[in-house]
Amino acid sequence: VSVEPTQMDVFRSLPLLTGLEPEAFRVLVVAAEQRIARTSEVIVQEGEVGNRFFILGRGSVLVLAGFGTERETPLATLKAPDIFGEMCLVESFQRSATIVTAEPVLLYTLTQAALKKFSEFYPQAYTLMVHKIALTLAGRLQKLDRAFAALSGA
Amino acid sequence: MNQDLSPITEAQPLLQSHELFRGFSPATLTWLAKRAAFLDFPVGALVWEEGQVRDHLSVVVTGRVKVFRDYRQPARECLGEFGARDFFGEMTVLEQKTSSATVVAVDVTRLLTLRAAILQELAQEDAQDFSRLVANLARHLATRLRRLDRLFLEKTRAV
Repeated sequence: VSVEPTQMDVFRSLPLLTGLEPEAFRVLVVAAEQRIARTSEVIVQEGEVGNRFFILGRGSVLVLAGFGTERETPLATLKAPDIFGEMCLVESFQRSATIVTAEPVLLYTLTQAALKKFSEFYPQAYTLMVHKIALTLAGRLQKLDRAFAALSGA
Repeated sequence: MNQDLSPITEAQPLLQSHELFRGFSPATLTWLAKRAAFLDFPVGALVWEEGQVRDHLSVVVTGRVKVFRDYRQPARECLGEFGARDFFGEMTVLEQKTSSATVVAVDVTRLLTLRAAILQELAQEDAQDFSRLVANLARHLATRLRRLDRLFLEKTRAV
C-alpha cells in the first residue's frame, strides 16, 4: 500500500528548509499554493521573469533549453521532492530554461512577494535558506567548472 | 608580501561601491573598513595555495591574479583570471574549507582582504547586513552559473 506524502512530509524532506525555526517552517507551509498540472504542461517558460519558487510534491518535470525550437536540448529531469526557481528568494531573473511536466504533477509554489514578507518576519530563517542556496550554487559552479575542463580536454 | 592595516579612507569607498556589500548600512561599511587589511604581492607571488584553509575574502584593488588547479604539477590548469574589483575566496562567507585552487599574482597586485573571523563577527554584530552579504553572494553565483550554463550548452551543441 503506498501512502501519498502529505505537504508537510514533502516540506520536511527538503534540505532547503531543514533547520528552520518551527514557526517559520509552518508559515512557509501555509503560504504555499498548490497546483496540479497535466502531462506536457509548461510550468515555466524560458526567458520569462521568474517570480515563483516551486516544490515538486509528486511527479516529474523536464528542464529544456530552446523548447519548441530545432535547438531544443534536454538539460535535466527533476523528480519530487526537487525544487526549482529558488533564486526568486533573492532576485527577479529571466528563466534560463523551460520546465515541462513529464507526467501529472502536484506542485507547491511560493510567490516572491510571500518570500519577501517572510524575510521581514523571519530574517534568520531567510538567511539560512539563502545561505543554503548559495552553497548549492557554488557546488553546481564547481561541477560545471570540472565539466568545462573535461570538455576542453576531450 | 607586505601587509598593512587599512586606512579607512582607502577601504570604505571600495566596499561602498562593491556589489558584494550593496545595501549595507554606512555604520557596517565603516565597521568593515576598520577591520579590512590590504595585502601587496609582487609578480609571481602565491596569494593562496591549494589545500590551505580558506580564511580570507579578497577583493582585487589593483593588478591581476590567476587561479590554477594542480599549480605545482606540470599539467597545471588555469581556471580563471581576476582583475580590479573582482573577488575570490567568497566561499569563506559560507563555509570553512580547504581551497581547491592556487591563486598567483600575475601583476603587481594589491588586495583588500577580510578575514573569516571578521565575517563571523559581522553575523553576530549585524545579522541584517550579513544576510545582505549572503544574498549578494548568491546573486553573484547565480549570475556566473547562468553565464556558464549558457556557454556550456553552446559548447556541447557545437561538439
